[in-house]
Amino acid sequence: MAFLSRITRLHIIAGAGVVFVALLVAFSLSFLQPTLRQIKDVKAQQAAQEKTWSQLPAKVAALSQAKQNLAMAEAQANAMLARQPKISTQPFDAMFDLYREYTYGTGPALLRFFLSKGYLPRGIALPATPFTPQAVPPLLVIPMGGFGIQARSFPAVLNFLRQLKDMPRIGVIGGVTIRGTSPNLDVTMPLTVYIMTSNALAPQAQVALAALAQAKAGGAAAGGAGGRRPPGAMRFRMGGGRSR
Amino acid sequence: MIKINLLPAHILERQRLRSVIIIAAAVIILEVAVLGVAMTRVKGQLTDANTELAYWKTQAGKVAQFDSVIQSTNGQAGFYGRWVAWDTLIGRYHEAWAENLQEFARWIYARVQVDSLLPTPQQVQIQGRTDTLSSFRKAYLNIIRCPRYANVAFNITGVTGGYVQGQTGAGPAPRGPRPAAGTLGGLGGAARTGGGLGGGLRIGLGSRASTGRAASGAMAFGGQRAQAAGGPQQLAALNRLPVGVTFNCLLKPQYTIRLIPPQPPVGGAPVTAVAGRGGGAAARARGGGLQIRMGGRSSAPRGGGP
Repeated sequence: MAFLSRITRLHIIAGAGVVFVALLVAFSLSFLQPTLRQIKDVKAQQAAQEKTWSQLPAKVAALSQAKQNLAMAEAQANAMLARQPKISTQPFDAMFDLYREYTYGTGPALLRFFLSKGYLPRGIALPATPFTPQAVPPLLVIPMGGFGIQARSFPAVLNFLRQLKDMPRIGVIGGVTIRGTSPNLDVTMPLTVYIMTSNALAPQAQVALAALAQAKAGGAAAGGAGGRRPPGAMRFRMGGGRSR
Repeated sequence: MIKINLLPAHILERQRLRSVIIIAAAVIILEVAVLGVAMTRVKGQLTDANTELAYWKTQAGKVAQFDSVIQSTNGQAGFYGRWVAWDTLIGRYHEAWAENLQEFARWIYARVQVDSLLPTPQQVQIQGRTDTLSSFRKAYLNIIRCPRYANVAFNITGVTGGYVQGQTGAGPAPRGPRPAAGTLGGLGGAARTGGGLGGGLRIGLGSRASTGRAASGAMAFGGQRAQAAGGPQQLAALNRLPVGVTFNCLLKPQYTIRLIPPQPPVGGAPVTAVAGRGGGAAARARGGGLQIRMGGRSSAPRGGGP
């Protein structure tokens, strides 16, 4: 009690003031400022999200454009696929399809094409057909080795090369060599034929093709040029000259 | 009237202190209450902001979904597009071959009979013959002007023209007018010293040097030229041309790309993966696969026929 008797009003007011200020500081530091900072952050995020949302009309237009592009590209690719022979995706059916294609499809079609353009091809050969059911890749690459034609003149050679774009199959020639003199120009070139199978444009084909690309990256590139004829290759011959 | 306070001083002071303490406590309680209200309001603001943020996040998520769909659509379109582009490139590639061959031939001098034209993606080799070394000189000066070549090397074989064989003494006598001595390519203009190619071969680059004009439009393939000139007799004459020449023309990088075949979009399985098994051995055993005959003459199986 002696202690209390020494407390004056000034002491009490000072103590109360300290408590008042301490409460204010504690409230501000521990709650108000962090919370206000949080609110500011949330508002900033909100503004960003609103900005993103404001892009929606542009995105809708972009999506519409992308769908148009897709439809166009798909139509072109399907038209490309429609020109390809029908090769089933089922291994067993594919075996017969490939046999039919190799026997009655690609070879005769190429012969007919060259003949229709007035050139007599030599040495068009296809690899042997598969006789075991196997999974068919989206893209068959058929290196046909070298083949030749006889051209009457140099312009005829150029004309022949320009007509190759109309080949009944997707074919890519390699290095063209020209020997001899007109009217017996001997033109030789390797030919690689590509056949897109019916699953070439399927969505899962992307994965398969990517895997193939990876596998191919490690091995030899399947170039369009050159290449020896695989053993057991089929050979298409025509009346004119003998082909080796 | 006099008012006298009879309370002791310390009691009076205690009463005053009590009232001060009560006031101070009330102020502090009031402060705490105000701070509490403020806390509630700020918390409410935070909750509102979070709620609003969640709403906008949902809306923005829809935009992200759009992005995802657009990306997927573009990816799929790109997948199809690569196939189509490949198909288009093949057509252009064949066109490029024709265009390149035409350009190669355009710069071959008309008096060169070309025996073979062997282009590769990197270089073009032209083998042929000329009637005189002068023609060779002009051919060389023409060919080095072709804008597609980065470098042209040449080789002359079987030189019998330009000098008379069998002469002894001062060395071979140059045929025709004697042009001023000069140098050409890697051959030294050593006519007067008797050295150089063939022991006294003269290659002149004098006042009547070739203009280097391209033989535009002239097909350098001898037979065709012979046909234009007069037929088989001319051809036979050209076939006896004495100077064999070979030009190795290195293509500039921008032209080499055009002769490299376009590859499928992302690769493809070599055909041996499908066709090589099973059929190969059987086909070999049969004598080499399937034969397709067209026309009147029969064709024997590969490897088994006469």
